[in-house]
Amino acid sequence: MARLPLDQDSQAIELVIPSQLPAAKKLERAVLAELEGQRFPEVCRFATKLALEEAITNAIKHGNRNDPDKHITLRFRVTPQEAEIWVADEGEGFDPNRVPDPTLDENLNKPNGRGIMLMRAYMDKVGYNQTGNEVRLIKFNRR
Amino acid sequence: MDAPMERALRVDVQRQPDVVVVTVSGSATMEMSAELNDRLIETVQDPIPLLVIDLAELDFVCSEGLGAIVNAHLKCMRQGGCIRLAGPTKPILELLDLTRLSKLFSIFPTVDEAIKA
Repeated sequence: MARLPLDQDSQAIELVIPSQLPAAKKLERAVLAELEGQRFPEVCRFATKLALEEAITNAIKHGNRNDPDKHITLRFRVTPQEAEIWVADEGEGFDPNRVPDPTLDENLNKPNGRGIMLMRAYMDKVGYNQTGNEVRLIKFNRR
Repeated sequence: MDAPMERALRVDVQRQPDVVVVTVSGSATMEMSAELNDRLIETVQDPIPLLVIDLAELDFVCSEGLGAIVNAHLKCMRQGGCIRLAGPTKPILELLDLTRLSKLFSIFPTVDEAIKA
């Protein structure tokens, strides 16, 4: 796992990992440890863990199409006030506004498609870059 | 600093006459949801009238884990059976409500109540 320091002002950490679940899990632990260190409450850590898992799963499955030779880039910055996380894949991107609403009656029976909805429900801000291959997640520390 | 360790996923299957109770405990993470899916699908391989999934000890579930439960529900339903959920904790119940899966599944406070309903 490559760890690259970003500019000091941003206090962000960047990690580049293979597009595989075990490597991604280590990365998730690194982010959650920062939240623990900044005394984010359990409810915020649960929400961030969930959103991060959804972002990583989407990056591996849909962005990088399960290609283990591709990579995921994660940047994160955790302050006592907020956690800001970016997850980028090497895919072509997508339009998040065209993803079907999984909470509609006709979609409840579908096993997939709840990831983006959960990120939006559990984080305070969710945004995508123009290409749609990088998601930015923000969670405020509400103690 | 390390994040607190999450509890490993555990899936226990108890077969009783006319009902199968599957106890899912620990964390159904992105890494472990495929295993949950396999265990649930294996459980509903043969037709069963009622499958109760005990969620009382489930700490965490991602969308893939929820998808595993929906998958089992579809297979069970096609064979004339049904799935009921029991004992979800507040965060898991909130997840089920937000996704509106609480509309798809009947949810009961305990396994006994789910069996007797």
